[in-house]
Amino acid sequence: MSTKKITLLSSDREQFIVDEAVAIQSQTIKNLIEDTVPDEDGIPLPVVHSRILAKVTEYLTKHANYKPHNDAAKEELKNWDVKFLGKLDNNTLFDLILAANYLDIKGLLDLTCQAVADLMKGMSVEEVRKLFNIENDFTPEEEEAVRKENQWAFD
Amino acid sequence: MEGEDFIFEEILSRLSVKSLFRFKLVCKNWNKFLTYNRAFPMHHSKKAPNATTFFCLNSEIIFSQIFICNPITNNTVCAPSPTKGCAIGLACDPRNPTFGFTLVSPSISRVVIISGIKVEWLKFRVYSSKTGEWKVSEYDLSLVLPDNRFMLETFPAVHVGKKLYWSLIEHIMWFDIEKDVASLIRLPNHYTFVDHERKGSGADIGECDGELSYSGMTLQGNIEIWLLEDNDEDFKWVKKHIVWLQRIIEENWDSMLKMICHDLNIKEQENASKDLAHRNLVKPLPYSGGEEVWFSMRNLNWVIKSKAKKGRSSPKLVLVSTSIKDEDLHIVSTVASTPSSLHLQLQIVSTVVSKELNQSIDRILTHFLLRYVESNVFTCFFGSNTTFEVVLFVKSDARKKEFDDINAEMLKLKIDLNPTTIYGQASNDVEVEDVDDEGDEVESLVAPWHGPWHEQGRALAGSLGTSEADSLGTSKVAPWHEQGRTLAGSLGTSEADSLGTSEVAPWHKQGRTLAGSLGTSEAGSLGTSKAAPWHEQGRTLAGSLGTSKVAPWHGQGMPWQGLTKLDLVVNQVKGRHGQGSKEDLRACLGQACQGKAHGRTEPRLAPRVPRRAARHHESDPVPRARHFEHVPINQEVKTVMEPGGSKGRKQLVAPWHGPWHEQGRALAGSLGTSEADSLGTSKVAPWHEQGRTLAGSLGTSEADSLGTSKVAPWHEQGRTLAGSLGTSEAGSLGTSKATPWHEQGRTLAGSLGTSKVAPWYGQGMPWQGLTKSKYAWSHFVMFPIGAEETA
Repeated sequence: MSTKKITLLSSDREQFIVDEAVAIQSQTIKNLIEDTVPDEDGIPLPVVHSRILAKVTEYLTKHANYKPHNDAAKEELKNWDVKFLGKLDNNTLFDLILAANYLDIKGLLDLTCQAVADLMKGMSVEEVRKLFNIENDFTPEEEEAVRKENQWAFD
Repeated sequence: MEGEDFIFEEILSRLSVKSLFRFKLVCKNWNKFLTYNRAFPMHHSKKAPNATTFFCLNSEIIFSQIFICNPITNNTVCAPSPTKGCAIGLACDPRNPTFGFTLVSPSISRVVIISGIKVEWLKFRVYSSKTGEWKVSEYDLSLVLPDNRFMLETFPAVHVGKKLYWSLIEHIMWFDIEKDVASLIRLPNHYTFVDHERKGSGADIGECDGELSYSGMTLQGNIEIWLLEDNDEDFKWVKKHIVWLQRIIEENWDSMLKMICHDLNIKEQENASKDLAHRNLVKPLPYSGGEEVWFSMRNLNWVIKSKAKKGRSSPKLVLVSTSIKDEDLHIVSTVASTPSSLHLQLQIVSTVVSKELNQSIDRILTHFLLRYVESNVFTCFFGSNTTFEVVLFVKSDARKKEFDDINAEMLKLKIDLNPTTIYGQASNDVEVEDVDDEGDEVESLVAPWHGPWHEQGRALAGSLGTSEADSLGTSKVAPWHEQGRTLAGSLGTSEADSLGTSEVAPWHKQGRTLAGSLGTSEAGSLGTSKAAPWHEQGRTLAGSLGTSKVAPWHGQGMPWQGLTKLDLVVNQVKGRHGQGSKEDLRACLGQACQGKAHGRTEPRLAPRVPRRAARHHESDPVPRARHFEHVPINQEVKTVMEPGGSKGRKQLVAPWHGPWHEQGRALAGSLGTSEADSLGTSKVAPWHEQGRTLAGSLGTSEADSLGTSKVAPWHEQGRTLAGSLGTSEAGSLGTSKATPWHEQGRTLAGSLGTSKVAPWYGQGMPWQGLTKSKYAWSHFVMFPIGAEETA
C-alpha cells in the first residue's frame, strides 16, 4: 500500500496531511491529484473550511483504514458513524454535506444526508423551516389549502 | 445553486412519503418542488426503496407507477406505467415460488372508419417483472365494436390460467401471455343481457375454479352465471347458475327489500326485478365459485349475497353492510384471483377530499368492487391521492365458517405503499423519451378522454400554475345533469405571468367537456378557452397543450389511461370536395414542425394558412362528404405538396381518437414557427354532417405569437377541435372557442404550451400522466367548411 502523503489545503489555508489512500476516497481530490500540478502548500480546497475539513479527514481516515470484512466489523463502523454524527451540530452537519458533495465522497454524503433526513422525520413544519432557515411565504389561506390537500400526511 | 439543489433532493429523497407531503407546507418552493417535479419521484424511489413514489399518486402528479400489492402481506412492488394503454391487467401466479408478474395493457392504436363502421386496432403492451420493461406485443387485434375503451377502462382484467380477460360489450377479449395472442369471444346469449344495451355496467367477470366466470344481469331480471371452458382455445360457455331476482324480491319483500326498493323508487313487487334490471340498478359481482352469488344494488350501501344452487337459487338473503360511511372512496383494482381456502373481498377505501362525490353512495357502489382474492395473490391497484385503507371481509372455506353481516371478520389494513422490492429499472423507464433537438420528432399527447361513459358525471376543474412570478387561473365548470363530465383546466408554467381562464358550459346529456388552456412561456401567456354546451352525445375538449401532461381521470374505479403518446401523427385529408380532388390538398393546410432534420424550408407563419384556406373555400361553398384517412402512429411524416406553394408540409392529426359515433372529422389548423411574430386566426364554420373540425393555431416564435381560433357549431356527427399553441420566448396569447353542437360530436379547442393538466380529484382514482412533449407543437390541418373570412 502506498504511503504517499497528500497535503490538503483548506479555505483558510490550513494544511491537512493525509495518506493518499485516505485522500483519494474523495473523487474530487483524486481528480485533482491526477490532473493538476499540486500547489507547493498542498491541494487547495477553496470551499472547505479547516473546521469542516478536519471532520472530513477524520471520516476518511476511519473509513480508509477500516475495511470491514465481517458483520461485526461493519457493525462497529456503523457505530463509529453514529458517534461521529452525534458530535456534530446542525450547522456543521450542513457544511459537511456541502463539503461531501463538493469533494464527492459518496459515503459521507449518504451518511450526512440521511442524518438530516432522520432529523427532519420527527419535525413539525415549523421546525423544518427553522432548520433550513426558510421563511414561510404562504398566506394563511394558501397554507390552509395546501394543508387540506395533504391532510392525510398530518394525521 | 445546482449543488444545493442536488443536496436538497438528496436529503428529501430519504424522507418518507408522508413526511414529504407534510413538508409541502414549508414554503412555496418546497411545495412546488414536491408537487411538480417529475424527476424527483423517480429519484426518491431509488433512494428510499422503502418509501416509494407515492407521489405519483398525488392528484397533481401524473401517474407514473403501478403498484402491485398483496394486501395480506402488505407487500407492494411497483412497476412503471406504460406510455400508452387504457387498461392494465395483472397476471401472476402466486404459487410459483419465483414470484413474478406480467402486466398487459391494451391500447387503441388506431381508429379507422370504413364505410361508416368504426374499426379500432388494439395493441398490447406487456410488462414482465423479469425484464422490467414494457414491450409492445406484435399481435394486433382489430375490433369493430363500439366503446371498447370505456369497457377497458372500467372493468379490470381477470387472470385465468395463462390468459387475461377483459369484458367488452357483447364480447370477452382475451390475451394469452405465453403465446402473445389475443382474440374475442362472444358472450353467451348476449342479447338477453342488460349489458347488451347498457354497455357493461350490468355484468362482471371473475375467475372460478380455473375458468372464467361471467355474471350478467338479464333483461328478464335474473342474474346468470356462466363459465367459460377453455380447451386450447376451443371455448364453450356453460351456464352455471341462475338467480331469480324476482323471487328473492318477493320472498324478502317484507324484510329488507321493501325498504331497499322503496329507496330505489320501486313501489311494486311485481316486475321489480325487471325494473331494477332495466334501470341498471343491479350489478352482479364477479363469481368465484361456491354457492353464493353476490350483487350490489346501486344507491344502496349494501351488497347482497344470494345463495345459489345449481339451476335455482335459494331466496335467502344476506345483506352485508359495507363500512363505507362518509368516506369517499375508491378503488381500484385488478385482481388476479385463484380459488383457495381463503376468500377475501377487497375493498379499498380512501379518504378523498372531494365532497362532491359524497352526493351519492351510488358512486361508491359503482366503485365498490368486491373481489375474491387469494391470500397470496397480489392485487394490482392504482392509487388515489391519499392513504389507502383496505377493508377485507375474510371468509375461510376451510373452516366452513358462516359468513354473514354479523360474523364477517373484518380486517382493516392500511397499505402504506411500501414496496419491499423495486424492480430493476422500473422507476427509470417512466419518463418519456426526449424529443431530439431538431424537433423533427414530435411527441404528442392525447388527452385520454375517450370513450363513452354512462352515468356518473364528473367535473374537473383545475388550474395549475407554476411560475416564477404570478400565475392566475380561473376555471369554471358548470353543472350538468346527466352523464358527462367536465374538465376545465388552465395551466400555466411561465417565468412571468400566466393567466388562463376557461369555462365549460353545462350540457345535458352524455358528453364531456374539457376546456383547458396551457401556456409555457418565458414571458406571459394568456389563454382563454370556452366550451359551449351541447346536448347530446359528444364531447368538447378545449385545451391548450404544449409540453404537457394530461390528467386522466378516475372514473369508475378503473385504471386510467395514459395519454397516448404519439411520435408523429400524420394525417392526410382528402376529398373535401369529392374524393381525391386536388383541391382537397389545398384544404390540407397547416404545417409546423421545424423540420431541420428533414431539411425543411422555413415554416410558414401561422395565420396565413387558415386564411388562405378559408378563402379558397368560399369559392366552393357546397359541402360534400369528406374522406379521411388515418395514418398509423409512428409512421413517417408524409409530405403533402401544396399546389400553389410547393412547400413541404407535414401534417399531423391530433390524436383525439376517442370513439364518436359516426364518421367524419374536420381538422383545420394553422401552425407557425417564426423568428418574428406570428399571428393566427382561424375559424371553422359549422358543418352539418359527417366531419370534424379542427382549427388550431400554433406559434413557436421568438417574439410574440397570438392565436385565435373559433369553432362553430355543427349539428350532427362530427367533432371540432380548435387549438392554439404557443411556445414563445416572449408572449403568447391564445383564445379558442368551441361552440355547442347538438348531437354526436366533440369539440376540442386547445392551445398548447408546456403544461400539465390538472387532474381532478373526483372519484379517488388513478390518473395517469400525460405524456410529456418537449416541444409545443401541433399539427392542424385546416378544413375550412363554411367559407369564413378571417379578420
